[in-house]
Amino acid sequence: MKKLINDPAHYVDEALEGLCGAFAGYDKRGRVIARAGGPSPGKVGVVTGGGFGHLPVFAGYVANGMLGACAVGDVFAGPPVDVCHQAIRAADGGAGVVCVLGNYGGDRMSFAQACEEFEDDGGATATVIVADDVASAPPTERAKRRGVAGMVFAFKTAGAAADAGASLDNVQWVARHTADRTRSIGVALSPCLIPGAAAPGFSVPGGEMELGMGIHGEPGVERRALPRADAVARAMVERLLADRESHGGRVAMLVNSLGATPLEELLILYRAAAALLAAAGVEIGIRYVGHYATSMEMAGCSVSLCDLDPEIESLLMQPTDCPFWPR
Amino acid sequence: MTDGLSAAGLADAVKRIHDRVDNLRDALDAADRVMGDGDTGMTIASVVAAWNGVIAADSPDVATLLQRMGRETRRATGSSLGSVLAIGLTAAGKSGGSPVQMLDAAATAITERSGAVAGDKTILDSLLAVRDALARQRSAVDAAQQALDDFRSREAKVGRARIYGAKSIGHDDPGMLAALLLLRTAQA
Repeated sequence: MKKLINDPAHYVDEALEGLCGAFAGYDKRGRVIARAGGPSPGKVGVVTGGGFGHLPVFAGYVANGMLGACAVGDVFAGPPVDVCHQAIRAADGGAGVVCVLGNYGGDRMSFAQACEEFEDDGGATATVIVADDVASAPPTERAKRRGVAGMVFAFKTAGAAADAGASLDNVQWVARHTADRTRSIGVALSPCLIPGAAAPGFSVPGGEMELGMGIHGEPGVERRALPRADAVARAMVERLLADRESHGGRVAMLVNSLGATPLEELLILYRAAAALLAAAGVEIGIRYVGHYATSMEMAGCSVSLCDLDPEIESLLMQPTDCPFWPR
Repeated sequence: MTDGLSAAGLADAVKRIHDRVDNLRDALDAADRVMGDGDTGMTIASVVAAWNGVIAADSPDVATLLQRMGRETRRATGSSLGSVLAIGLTAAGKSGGSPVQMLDAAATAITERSGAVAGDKTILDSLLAVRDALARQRSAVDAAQQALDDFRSREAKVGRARIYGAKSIGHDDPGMLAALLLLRTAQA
């Protein structure tokens, strides 16, 4: 795999420096990306963190109306405790901090420790774990599912609620409520390489796809010959709909590239997925198509559905100046 | 690790590991590519470099040195395995006492904070096996090897390997392998 990099050891920091230079609104302090304007006094801060290599997730969503700060680790490895602690401090406006995290062991352990230390110093925190990937565990073990692209919905609603002045408990509830109503599934076509690694950690043989593969190449539910795009969309949407408790209703749909898959193919997927939802009596209230949660140069896509209610829909539609969120 | 564990002995062990870290890294990355993203060796290499930085300083007692190693591990990485090592080292250092007592403290803290329990096929199982061996005056390296062999035929119950279910049978857990290689290299 060819990469446009200088040195694997500088991959993360140089990319973050570019992010801060290319777009207004970001401030880099070590491995923390915070809002350039700092936290809003008296308002709750929303923080996340995780391994690098998924941009715009996680750091890209630091913006007015979304996240207050983000702790950044190495590629596919969670941030150290101290970085999590610094991110929490950077987002604290005095009203407490809600950590919205994907369900990964390292991220959870580091943030748990950082929250404990922040609370020892008199701060207030709450944590919400997003576990939206339906392929990673059955409904009976929902809490074991990993967090993937659908976590951006919780970033957006929690961030909007926080900036509107909601309390710590309310922001936590909004994030929890959004996460509970979000489901995702991905399909991978080709792998990605961690800079500096000798070989990819997984492969997808030519002409095949892996349904349900995770964003670090975790195994999915099924590997088979790559069918036409419409059949891929059907396999994904059927699994998402089967996992919902409700029928019909109104959703936000995100069709997300894992990195290498182009907008053209996402739109072909979107077209098929939208028709399947219409046939199932599900109304699409808000649409997102593009790069949201990626795995560097991995090819493939994910589809996420968030069951809307008036509150979630309103919070998703609140303006943010995030360069990676549609106006 | 024996009852005669001294700060100087621990520092020598870390130096030996540091001198041979390239072999460790390659073996662990390869093991992690089977079901992971292939970076366990890189994680361990960054942790060992952090340890090497603290042993170069003055030589405190074992408990203080372990706490410093835990603190530097925490700074070096937030990966799952790195977090578990940091939690274990810090708890062991805070507890002090005999190696068995320190391993008990480490196992308790890891169980409380990681969500993993005995039998999940993680480095915690290696640690518990080593603890039992030391309590009976047996070899720590042999115990780590035995744990690796015993768990090879079992399913992973936690973390990303869990998702492989039955497919994880027959494969070594990279964290358990890391425990064995660290102990073996420390004594070499």
